Amino acid sequence: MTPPSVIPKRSPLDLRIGRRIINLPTLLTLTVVWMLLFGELSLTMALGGVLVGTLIMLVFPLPTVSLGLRLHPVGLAVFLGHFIVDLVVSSARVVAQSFARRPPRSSILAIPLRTRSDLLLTITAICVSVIPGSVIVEVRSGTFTLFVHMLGTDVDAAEDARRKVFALEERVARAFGTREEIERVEAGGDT
Amino acid sequence: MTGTEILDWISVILLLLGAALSFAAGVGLVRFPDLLSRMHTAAKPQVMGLVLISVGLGLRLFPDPRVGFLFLVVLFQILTVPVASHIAARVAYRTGRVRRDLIGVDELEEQLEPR
Repeated sequence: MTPPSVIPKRSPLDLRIGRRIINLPTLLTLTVVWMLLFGELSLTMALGGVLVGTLIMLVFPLPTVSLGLRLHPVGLAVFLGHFIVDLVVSSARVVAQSFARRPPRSSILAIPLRTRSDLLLTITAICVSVIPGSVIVEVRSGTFTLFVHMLGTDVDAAEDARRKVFALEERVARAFGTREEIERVEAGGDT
Repeated sequence: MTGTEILDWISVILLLLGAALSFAAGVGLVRFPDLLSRMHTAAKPQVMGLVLISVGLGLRLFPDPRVGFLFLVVLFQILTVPVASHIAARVAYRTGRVRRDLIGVDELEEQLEPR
């Protein structure tokens, strides 16, 4: 398998101050968060946000990573719709299980993802917790493998559970992935 | 019924549902047999309960821009709960605090080097 490219291309959206780099999209996000925190839409708030964001990036510099984030509106809508439905269904199931008489049995499954993007791996790992019945136990970023605890899933239901995680990965790729990643996920899938 | 009254009712229903879900999550926390199962209550009904309560609150506050704060609460809850429970699960698994008798298939055990 080919490792993901580690050295990112120099982004045109970077502002360089000495050896520190200020990434403009990140600065914008931090400013928006700042304004949401104070719940005020005003020029002073915006300026304050820019100031604090700049300070944060100067004081706590992060290594640059190649995100490879693309937003696909249709894929994103499908992903969000599924996310909400999954959250409702899985909450109902856990509530039912917690009032059940006997403790549910469970399995720990290894699920080798097909994506090779750290971003997609992270989003998938976070969303696995929302899929009915599963919670993440361990992530191998080297082999892109998720270890998932499936509540109420005994031996016979394991394959079905595995298929659900693969379907989630595909939705994540279609919502956030580059074209290359989408193709990789589709090609590698035998589900 | 006026528009605001309808909104008030919807928000009351959402608040009650959210509270009920949080209660159910508490019950699950007490009744589930081991840490791995308990994580499911933190990851699902608890998050869902918080989402419902925040939406209910947001409906009442609505034109107020402080609604943005509620949005942040929900966003960071969804982003951080899986990370936190993953760390807890990892530690629990590696220190053997897992009810083996309740686990059917375990594909992690084969892959962990003995230490």
